Amino acid sequence: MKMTLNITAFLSGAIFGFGLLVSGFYNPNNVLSFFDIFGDWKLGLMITFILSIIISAIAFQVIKNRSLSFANNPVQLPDTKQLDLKLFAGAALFGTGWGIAGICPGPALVLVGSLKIEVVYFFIGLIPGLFLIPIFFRK
Amino acid sequence: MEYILGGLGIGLGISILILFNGKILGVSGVIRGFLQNPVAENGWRFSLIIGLVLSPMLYQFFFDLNPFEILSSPLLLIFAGFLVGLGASLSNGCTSGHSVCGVSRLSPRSILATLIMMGFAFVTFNVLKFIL
Repeated sequence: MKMTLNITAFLSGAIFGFGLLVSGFYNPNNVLSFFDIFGDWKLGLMITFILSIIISAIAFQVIKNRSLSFANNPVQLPDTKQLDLKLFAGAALFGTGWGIAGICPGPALVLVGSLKIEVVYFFIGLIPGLFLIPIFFRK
Repeated sequence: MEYILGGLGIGLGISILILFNGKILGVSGVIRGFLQNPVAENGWRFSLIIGLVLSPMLYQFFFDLNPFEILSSPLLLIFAGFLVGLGASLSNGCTSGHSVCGVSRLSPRSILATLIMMGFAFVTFNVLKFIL
């Protein structure tokens, strides 16, 4: 059982990674040209983004009313509803960092496997960033 | 065509994780969970991370990847990584968790987060382009 879940998680990561690779989403230069609306704007990633949302929406529709997954694991969907300052501030900080380097966490892991050594610097910032908040604000 | 295949791949990856593991594919949450939870609970997170990291090697058995350079300086990469990490932990999600999973579930939080994230990314990129 546990083994099945490890295999499906591996496949999930590998296929998700394939999507990032084939679309060029893992390449920060492509992501930055997606932000370059006044210059050499590449709209193609919008197709990737929209299609991935449509496919995921079908999967979430299928799982919505089930408490167990197809491998009999509990289904965990977030139920947070508040639109609070943490959400606004977090999204703004995230967007700023994303706009600087064109890298977000998924592509960062794919870049590790692409042996782009420079991505190590991104992780040197990312990991303390992920853990800073709980140190100051206990939930 | 490659954009369509990319969307299929990302969507299918997310679908597998929710349909079989019952988990949302949010990469920032997976990295954070992997670093703070006991090893016994981390099997699926570890497998997912390995899948992502190995994907370029598997990909290159069949297809070519275009060579490219990461152009940002080390200092800028550290700073960008820090903002991305802080932002993802504050808002509880990143591109995969909010912008794809959350938006596809029509979560108001995620739709709002996505608009803010993309808005700030557009503005930051264009301000930096103007200054530098």
